[in-house]
Amino acid sequence: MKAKKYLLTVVAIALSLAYLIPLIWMFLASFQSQKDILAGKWIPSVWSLDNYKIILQRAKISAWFTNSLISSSLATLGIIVVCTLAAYAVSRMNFPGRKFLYILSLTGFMIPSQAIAIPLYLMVRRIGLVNNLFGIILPALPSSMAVFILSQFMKAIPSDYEEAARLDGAGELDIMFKVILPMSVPAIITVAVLHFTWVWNDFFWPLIVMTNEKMYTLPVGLVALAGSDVNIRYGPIMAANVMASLPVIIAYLFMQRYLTRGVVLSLR
Amino acid sequence: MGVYNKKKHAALAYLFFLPFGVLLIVFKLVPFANSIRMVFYKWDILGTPQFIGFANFTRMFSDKVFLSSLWHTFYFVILVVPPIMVLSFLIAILANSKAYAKGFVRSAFYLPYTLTISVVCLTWSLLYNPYFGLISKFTKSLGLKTINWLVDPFWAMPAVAITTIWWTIGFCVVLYIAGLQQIPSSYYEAAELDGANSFKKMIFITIPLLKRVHVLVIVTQIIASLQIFGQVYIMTAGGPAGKTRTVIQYIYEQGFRYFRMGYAQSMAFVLFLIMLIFAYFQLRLMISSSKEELI
Repeated sequence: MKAKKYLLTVVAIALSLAYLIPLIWMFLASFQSQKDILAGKWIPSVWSLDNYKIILQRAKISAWFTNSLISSSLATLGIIVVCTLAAYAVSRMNFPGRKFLYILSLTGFMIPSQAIAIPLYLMVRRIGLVNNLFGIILPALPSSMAVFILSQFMKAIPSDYEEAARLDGAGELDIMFKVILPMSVPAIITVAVLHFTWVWNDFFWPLIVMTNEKMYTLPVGLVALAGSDVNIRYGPIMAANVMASLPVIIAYLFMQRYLTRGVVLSLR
Repeated sequence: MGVYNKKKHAALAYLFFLPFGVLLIVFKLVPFANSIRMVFYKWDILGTPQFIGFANFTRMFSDKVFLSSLWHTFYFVILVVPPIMVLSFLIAILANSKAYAKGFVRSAFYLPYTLTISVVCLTWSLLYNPYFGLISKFTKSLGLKTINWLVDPFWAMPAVAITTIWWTIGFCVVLYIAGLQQIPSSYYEAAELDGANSFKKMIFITIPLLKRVHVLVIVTQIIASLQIFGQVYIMTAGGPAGKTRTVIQYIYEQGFRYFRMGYAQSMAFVLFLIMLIFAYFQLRLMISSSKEELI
């Protein structure tokens, strides 16, 4: 029985490592000279940081990184504020039209972003948000997914807590900020991690709305860079890939629990 | 609560909903209304839009490029969805087995999904390189013919599909693991008492009980695959000879290279209608269970 368990472990680890080969190769290639890459080497003949130097000197990668970081962070922050308020209203408050507003808040699910990309682009262009980070941030804010996850979570909090606080003389806002929201922190973190990675990784919308090279986000910039010059496509681009991925991989290792939970919550 | 309080309570609720409501209307519902209006217009980015009735649609269904891009999109769905379902199920079984290091296994298969599409596609473009790429080295070592994956009219789309499966499988694995963990172990114990072997347990307990997860995986992956764009934009630019041009790639070309906004939007509308069928199933599944259970 024990032997079987060890065998299973070996198979599982071997398969996992095999699955990560593209990433391992990307990492190793980022230290290789073009000659090494073209020779199909695994281990660099000389470990060199030249690819990283080339990328940092030639490309606007730090500007793209900043653009991605600002738009993803502000969008996430905005989603948390806007969607938590809405979710609280539709899940914990009683008022005429509550059900209608709940259904309304979920209509975003039926409207995929590609279906409205063209009219949205024309509108964003008209209000002068092309090549502006708010052109990415604002359309991301009304997230049906965020309202859905948060309201499902808040709905499940027993009303005993609320009633006890009320008996102690707590007002409307006290109940919200001191009772319900603190209890909803796990759901809020899940929503934050989920939306941060979505905005960070989005490709189609930033490609459309950012036409000025300086305003590219990281994913759009990387592709433009790879297309700009044949020689940069090998080692230097792999170095850029590593730089673009490390923050996400590190964040993932810390936030893993919330992210995988978010996937399940988002579809439950 | 008194009358005054009730009114105040309702006013506060509307106030809380207001920012979301306004943003939803401005950035989702108004563009959606416009997206329907636009299909009846010849709408170039400059100049006055011209009402042309259903001309965009008659043009679309005699546009060979559009019809081929529609077929390429369906072909991509067929290439991605069945393998991703089978593989993610098997990986989830492995990651949920009695082996040690289960956390590592889960992370390994989920990690690619956290990467941005550009990193994934630029790396795989080199892996597919027929001269020095790892994949051609591997096929050569097996004694197979070298394939120029992304340039070969037959293999380009399967190559894009393989990259997509590698990139996104973690999402489905997570769903399957969550489903597997909710199957009560008493079911298996009862089956063992009746003398069922592992294979029988899989066929008669695991697979049927995960019905809801199967449907979720199929629906979400069909919706995601119908929207394929970045992978072909980055890896093949729709080539070779338009063999990997998908609907959104064509919409992008018509809308943002030739600025035929009305025509591009009409195609987006057709894709939207196709996706709506699957989105409806997804929404029904989501609303039908507000419980913690996946199965």
